Amino acid sequence: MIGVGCLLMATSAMFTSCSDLMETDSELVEYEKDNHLDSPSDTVYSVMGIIYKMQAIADRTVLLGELRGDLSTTTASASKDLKNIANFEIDTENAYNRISDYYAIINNCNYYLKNVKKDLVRHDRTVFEHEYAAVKAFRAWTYLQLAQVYGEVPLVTEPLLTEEAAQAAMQQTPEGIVAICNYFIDDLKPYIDTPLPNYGNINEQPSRRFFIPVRPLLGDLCLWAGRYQEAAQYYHDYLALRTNPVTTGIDHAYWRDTDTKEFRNADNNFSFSGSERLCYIPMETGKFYGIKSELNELFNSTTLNNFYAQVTPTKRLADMSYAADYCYVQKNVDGSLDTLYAPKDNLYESEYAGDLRFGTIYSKRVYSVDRFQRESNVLQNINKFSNSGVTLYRTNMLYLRYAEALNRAGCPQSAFAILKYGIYPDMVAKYVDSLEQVKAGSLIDFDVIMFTADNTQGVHSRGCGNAECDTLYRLPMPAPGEAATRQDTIDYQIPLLEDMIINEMALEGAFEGYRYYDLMRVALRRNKPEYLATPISSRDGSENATLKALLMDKKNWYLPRP
Amino acid sequence: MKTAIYNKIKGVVKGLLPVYLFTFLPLSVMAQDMKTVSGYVIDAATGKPLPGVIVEAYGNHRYTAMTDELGAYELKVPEYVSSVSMRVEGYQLLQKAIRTDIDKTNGQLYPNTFSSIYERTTESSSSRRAEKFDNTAQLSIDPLVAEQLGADIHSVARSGQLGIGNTMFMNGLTSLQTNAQPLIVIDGVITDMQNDRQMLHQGYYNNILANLNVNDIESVTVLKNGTAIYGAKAAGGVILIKTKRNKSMATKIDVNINGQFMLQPTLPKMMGAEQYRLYATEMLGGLTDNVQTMEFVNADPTNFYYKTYHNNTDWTKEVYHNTFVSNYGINVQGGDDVANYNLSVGYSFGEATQRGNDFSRFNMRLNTDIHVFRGLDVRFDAAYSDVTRDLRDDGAPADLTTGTITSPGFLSLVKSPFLAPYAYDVNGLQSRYLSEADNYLVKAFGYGSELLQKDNIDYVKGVSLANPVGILKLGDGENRNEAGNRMVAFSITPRYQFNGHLSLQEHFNFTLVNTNENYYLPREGTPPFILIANSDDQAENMAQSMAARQNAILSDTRLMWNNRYGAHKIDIFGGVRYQTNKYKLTAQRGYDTGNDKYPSTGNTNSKYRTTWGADDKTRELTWYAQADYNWAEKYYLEAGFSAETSSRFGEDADGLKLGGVVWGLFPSVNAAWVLSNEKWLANVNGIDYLRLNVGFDVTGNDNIDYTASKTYFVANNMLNQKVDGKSIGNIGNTSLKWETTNRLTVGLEGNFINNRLNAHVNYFKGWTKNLLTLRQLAWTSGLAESWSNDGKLENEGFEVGASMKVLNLKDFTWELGATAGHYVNKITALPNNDKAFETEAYGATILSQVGTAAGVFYGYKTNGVYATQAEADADGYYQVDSRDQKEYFGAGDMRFVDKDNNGVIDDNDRFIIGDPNPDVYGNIYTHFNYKNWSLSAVMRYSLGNDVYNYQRSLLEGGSRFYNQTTAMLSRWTSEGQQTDMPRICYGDPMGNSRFSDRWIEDGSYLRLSNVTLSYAIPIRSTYLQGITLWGGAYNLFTITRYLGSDPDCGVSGDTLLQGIDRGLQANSRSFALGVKVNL
Repeated sequence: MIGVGCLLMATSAMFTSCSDLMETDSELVEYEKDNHLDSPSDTVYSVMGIIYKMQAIADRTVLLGELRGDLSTTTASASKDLKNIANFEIDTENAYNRISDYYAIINNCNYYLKNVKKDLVRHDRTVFEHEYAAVKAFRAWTYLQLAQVYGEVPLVTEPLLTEEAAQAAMQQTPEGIVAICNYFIDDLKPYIDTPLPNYGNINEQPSRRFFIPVRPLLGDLCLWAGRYQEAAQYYHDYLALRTNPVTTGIDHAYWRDTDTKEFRNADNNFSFSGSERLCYIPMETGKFYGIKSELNELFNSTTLNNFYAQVTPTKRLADMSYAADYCYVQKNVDGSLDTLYAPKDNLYESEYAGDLRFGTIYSKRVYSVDRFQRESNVLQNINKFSNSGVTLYRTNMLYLRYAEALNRAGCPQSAFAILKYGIYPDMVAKYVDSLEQVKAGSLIDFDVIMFTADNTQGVHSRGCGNAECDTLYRLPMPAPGEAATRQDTIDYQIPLLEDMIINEMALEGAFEGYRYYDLMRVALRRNKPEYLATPISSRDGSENATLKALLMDKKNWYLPRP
Repeated sequence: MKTAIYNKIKGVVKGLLPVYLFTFLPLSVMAQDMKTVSGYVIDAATGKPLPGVIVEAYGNHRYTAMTDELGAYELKVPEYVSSVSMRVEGYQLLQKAIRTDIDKTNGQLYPNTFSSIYERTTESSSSRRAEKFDNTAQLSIDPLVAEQLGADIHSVARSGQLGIGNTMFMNGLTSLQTNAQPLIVIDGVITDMQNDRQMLHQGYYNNILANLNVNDIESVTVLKNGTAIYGAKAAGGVILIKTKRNKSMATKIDVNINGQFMLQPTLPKMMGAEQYRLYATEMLGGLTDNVQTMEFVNADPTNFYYKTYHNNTDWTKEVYHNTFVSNYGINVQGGDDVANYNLSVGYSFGEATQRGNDFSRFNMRLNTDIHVFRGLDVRFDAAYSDVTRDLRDDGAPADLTTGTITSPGFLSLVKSPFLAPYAYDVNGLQSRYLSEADNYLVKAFGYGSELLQKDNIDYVKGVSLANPVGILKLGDGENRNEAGNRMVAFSITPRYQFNGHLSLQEHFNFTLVNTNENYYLPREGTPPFILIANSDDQAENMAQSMAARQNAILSDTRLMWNNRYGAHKIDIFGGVRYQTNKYKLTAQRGYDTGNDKYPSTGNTNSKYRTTWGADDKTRELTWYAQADYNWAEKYYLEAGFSAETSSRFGEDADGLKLGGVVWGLFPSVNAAWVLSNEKWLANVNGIDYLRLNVGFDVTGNDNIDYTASKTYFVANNMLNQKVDGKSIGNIGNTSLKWETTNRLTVGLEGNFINNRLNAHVNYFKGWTKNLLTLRQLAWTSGLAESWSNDGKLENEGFEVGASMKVLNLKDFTWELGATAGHYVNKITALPNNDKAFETEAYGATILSQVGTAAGVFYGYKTNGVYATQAEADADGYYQVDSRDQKEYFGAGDMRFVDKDNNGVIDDNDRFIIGDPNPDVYGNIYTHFNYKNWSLSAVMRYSLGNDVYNYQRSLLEGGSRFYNQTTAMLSRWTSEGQQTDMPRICYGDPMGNSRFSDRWIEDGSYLRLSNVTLSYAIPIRSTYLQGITLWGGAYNLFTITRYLGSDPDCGVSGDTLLQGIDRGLQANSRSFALGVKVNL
């Protein structure tokens, strides 16, 4: 009888429609038609799916920005792909040049944004509002990455669900970074006050840190787009938010034994994965579970890499660190204070010279070699990586970008305050003159209770001791008579202070993947390729003329697309 | 000459003319002129007349006569009848063209101890058939098919595992990246062979055909063309399996008992304890200064460890043994004019030559034919089988970077012979406790990153080897290493005959295949191992379990009509077939059960537990029709057609769009011409029969990943499996469709010299397009690739065969025959603008590129070993390592051929170094019959196929602390030494053992695969109809230059992975003895 039933079914299907008959489902995958994105769990899974796709590019955000800069380079034991990145010889076969990984994030974002029932209201609450904003931020951030890495890319904002659509999108006229930033500034603006989703702790990690805060991202987009006033405002508004203030904290690197003047033991109380971390891409803690960040294995000697680190600091980073002064204030027996500078020679470790950030997070030991040893006898440790994730936003780096924006917005004194004193009402009153205070207005308005000397310091103090007292570290001033007007003075100060800010970014953010893009941003802003080409081509201490010539051509700044 | 040909053509045209006319002519017009055919029928051996021979107009039983005592007959037949058939019990059917030059049409009949060369009816399509699977101890039909249809199917044994069967290909290789093996149709039911399903045990294949008892099979037919009704599935060829049904009213009971004694397979000759000690010491010389401090080199007999490290264990003796397999079966046939039945019950069990692998099968089959009432017949078939096996991993591991070696067979070759399977106690006596995994090399590997710990003992990551005896002993048990396969099939086929010409039939079938498998790697005796390369994730043992259920429903409704109008015979049928197939699998894997008492996955550490599964559902609907026409049994024409729609097809695929779905259309046309029935040939002496056939088939391969045409999302387990993400897993290729193969076949078959010589040749040329291949997607999609129809390939080849009745004496007959098959496969287009692609497997690189055959090996060529440093320096060749640093080849290294002459040995220096496709393959067979004795022998051969001996690359690679073959005794050790074996070096930094022509061997062989002698005891009584005793010998000898255990081997049914030998347990010599009692 079943046979007859089947026959009837088959025959009737033939004469009506077979499409229902031929439809099957599966428990293993979810067909697009069944993915409705109208229940909270659906959208949570989809948002986590986007984060899953971000894991694929997490390491790259650091490696492409770091290895092409002037602060790190590859060791002899580095893989060919990494070496080629450092040498700007990246081809389409390079494992770190997979543009489709970025579009995987984008396509999933686009799908979500297009299909989620964003206006669904339950219990007087729009159910998906937080996720919607978070996904917009993921998409904008990914495009900013793409534009930084590839220069010009097709701007696709609709989900691509067929090969034809994907082909067509690939043929689209690509957009440059300014256009992309401008597009996403408008796209993100409505969501500045939308709270980020928070799913509590996942795998013992705070899930709210998995989401990109909108204001800092808008700040970045504005900074790249040359909209400095807005950038400063977004950064400020994020940092100064009364309900959730973000202060620089007072962690720093220091000499333990300045009293005895022996300068043997330098130390720090930094935590790059603790409160400093505002947002990060969560990674798997073991390869068994998926994508684990390789950064620790690339920058450090571990048992997994047989102690062969593949990335190492450059001479140029050591030089920059050396060039800074560590200033400390010594209390004399009589109670008087002496401002002193730590010596730079005959130190226990040569890396301790000058700025201590480099010396305290980096260490290198060389052991004697056994003829048959398969492990490296050079043990390198760079204490900046966390197994739990790859940092995207960090407090002090955000302050430096805020400084960059303020400076370009015409407020160099405020910007300099961030470097030297820390920005909070007392310091603003003390070191920013009234004219600039008026000009900056809400850009430098911080809560007097929340922002104090107890939780805020100049970023320079993180590595250089008491920067406030450092008389060698000062805001550039034109020689008397060189600047006729106040504006002339400001115009004189801006580029020079910008150099200081970018320099501070290098000391603060070394190994974290910011450097190349910081140089690129300023080089583009000033339309001076040498701003990028010069330091990078002389990362080893002497200039590599071939590399310089290569980098003087902007098109070589970007990875080739397939 | 020209005129002669003209006349012949005219004759043909004249003959064909009625084909066009008959439809327009009223039937009554076809008045028939009659003629008389007469002659004698004699026994070909004795020349004595044969009485009682039924002589009838060929293919037309309306005109029948019988010979008298003198063997004479006289038959009145219509004028158009051109041949008659002659048949009588005990003799072969004979088809005889009616001669016009002499007035007698005489026949000489041969005894049916010869293979049959004529059929009662002729078809326009071409096929070959294997049958008479008597007196055999084989557990699965596929090796027997390989023996009988040597040239028609290119068949490769999967391994020596019991009943594991063969990989089969027909008409060349018709697909690249999806299954290209033939469609198997069992009693009209398209049966899923589960070719793509992964099993838990390495080297194991779940052979669905092993569910069929060989004794239940009547015949296996290979279709050469005329495959239209299987159109969308027929591109890889079609094999029809028919099970036995009752044909006579008498009740017959057959009891079959046989036993097979299997000898250990030939294994590579490995080094002994002292030779290995030297090898290990030499290799350690490059690793440490402390060789002398290591316990295993301490030759002082008073040393505490002396006994532990001074054995001479032949580990293969612990793993392989001679073994016995037995088969029991009973078959009861009988019936009356209401019901006919064939019931068989069988039980088989036995152990494979590799311990820890056994097989048991219980099977039952009931085939009935019931006459319900006038016009209505019902066929009802039910079958059940239960195959249960003990299994262990088999073969050299595919991946050496993670895990540990778990195959007892491979371990027994590479395990150090100076160790013993059982530990020594404090008194220096061997205990009954198993030795733990070896750790004699720990000292050389220092500390830290290279060591792993278990029970406070250090083991070297990837170097310490498990105790194979531990895997065999502690892995034994139902819940440890067992696989079961149960198949239930149930068919009911009512058929209503409206009248003599028209009938309607519905065939309903339900098949259920349940598969379950447990896997357990014991903790004791196994070293800890890492799970993922370059990670900290490690484990001490592993448990896996899997359960799968496949159920298929088929409904096939068919309307049939046939009639004969004088010389015109017409058969038409058409119908609709609806099939659903569901396959659901759940599986789990976990590690670290803590001890060996609780081997289930539930006891594993939840940290590394993973589950996976499959949930495939497909539906297909096929409309089909076929019309056969013949005129006067001379000209045959068949046209077939099917239209299939499937849930696998993309909704926008090219094809006929009807009813909201896409239909693939598959026509086939074939024609045959029996030339010997033409008057001008019927009179030629020496040519008894000659038939030409031509066919053209359009067939498809609908074996598409069932979700590939859909856009779907997948779950992403993330953050230590604490949460799931969901992301786009595929953007559906909505135009995805079947692969299409167009195939032209031309065949010629003839019988000559009084039917003494039978010869046939079949030529084919196939063009496959729309290959299912992975195509790169636009990067904007965020996905790497998707299935698409892109790429083409061609196959051209032929099969030839001849058999000769060498002797036909009164009591003695001798038949001798041989077949040869040949094909050339060529890829003619590939996706991504013909971009060549490489497939990596078992250390090999397989190249797919336009212009070459599928599956060719792509690697380095070698040119000896540098005897001296000076020689190496003269070449100055170097390689660039993954760190982009140059490494120069030195004395004792292989000298690789620098194809591009640039000094660097790299990917650009690779050649096509081998082709697994054979030049010629086939069989040679002979049958002797003397009174009640019969002796038959079959040889199989394959020539010109290359085999990549992956196992040997590990046994002679000199790159690990694995025991090596004795060939490694001639390894390079000192400056100036002339040898072809390079130096050994741990880790093989210079890649001397890389994939190169060193491991590609000529896999040609000639094997005496079967010799069977049987004797029918001349007893006949009321209760006992007969007893046959028989003895068989399998794989008695193999002539080959191949160095591995068996040249007839393979790792996979994938087109691209042919000709790879990973050292799976080999087929070995075996002897069988059986008795068959007919009650």
